[in-house]
Amino acid sequence: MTDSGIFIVGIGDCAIAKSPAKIKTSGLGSCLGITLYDRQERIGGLLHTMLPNIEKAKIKDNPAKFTDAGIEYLVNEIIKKGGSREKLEAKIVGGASMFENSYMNIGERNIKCARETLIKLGVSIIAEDTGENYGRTIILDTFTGDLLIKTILRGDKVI
Amino acid sequence: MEKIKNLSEFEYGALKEIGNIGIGNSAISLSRLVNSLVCTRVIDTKFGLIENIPKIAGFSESPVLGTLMRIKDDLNGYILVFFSENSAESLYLTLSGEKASRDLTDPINLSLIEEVSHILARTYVTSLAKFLKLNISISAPYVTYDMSDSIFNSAVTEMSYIADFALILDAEFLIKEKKINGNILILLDPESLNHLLEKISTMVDQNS
Repeated sequence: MTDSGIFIVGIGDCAIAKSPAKIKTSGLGSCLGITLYDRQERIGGLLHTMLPNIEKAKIKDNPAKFTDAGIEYLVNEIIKKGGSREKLEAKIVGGASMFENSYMNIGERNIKCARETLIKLGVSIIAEDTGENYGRTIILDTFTGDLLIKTILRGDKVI
Repeated sequence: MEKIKNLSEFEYGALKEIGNIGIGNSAISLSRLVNSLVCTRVIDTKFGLIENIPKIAGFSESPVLGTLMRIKDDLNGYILVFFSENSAESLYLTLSGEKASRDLTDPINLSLIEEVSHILARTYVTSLAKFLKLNISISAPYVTYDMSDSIFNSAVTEMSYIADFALILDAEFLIKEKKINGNILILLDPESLNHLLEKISTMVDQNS
């Protein structure tokens, strides 16, 4: 944690924080950023995943690398720390296809996987900013639950 | 499960030298293009878990023009060429001869950067292929203007589909008088790394 109260989350990583701390992850390309927030407890979590499913992976040590396992892990952790499943609000950001010559469509598969996993776990998705072809940096404010999305050519917005 | 490989100091040294050969040859191409002296440096050579690779490269949210190409055949991975905004502008002015700089997202500017990046990457890879007697080719380039870490993370993510570990070779070039600088990054899967190390050890054996 830095002096200004911002937790930085790297790729294939996650963090949980209580108000008034902020959680930030930068450089979402085809990766996916998922945030969870409990408005009553003012506790939030942020996850930066790379690949959709853990199932086919050879090394399964790090759940935060995978969208499905990462979301499950973060939901459980946030509940352990005082959040409640019914009140959790999820936001999904990223999953862009940065390069036209990419043939794998990781972004789209990540988005689809996140939606399915959240629905399966009974967490409601309240906002999304996904797809397209540009990178995003996101900052979750655990005081308000606002999620700031920064981009280079398309300006900033809050969802 | 793949074994976690710890490279020896000698192996890192040899890989760094390979990076030096690659970036050195790219610098020659670039110096012919812009007609100026080009300085180069190998910043980092690391082998590690793929999700740790972006931390090693240490990119930020600053916007760059990044060009991505796949490395195919005997080696498998990606090569990325990055120019900062100012460098891209300066490069455009130098090569086009125009006085006023264009919007960086202008297709003409983008394709110029894409082509220069392609030349640099191709020289890099060709010099390695020659030195190591390997058959390596690269795909068509694709340029994008965005945050450097978004571009890099996307390449790493694609790579993570095929490998849990990766080798990164990070080198930079600098043209002082024209204020142009950039990076050439190579990402290789563990199998390619083995291939490289084998080649290196046969070369060492032959010479000793």
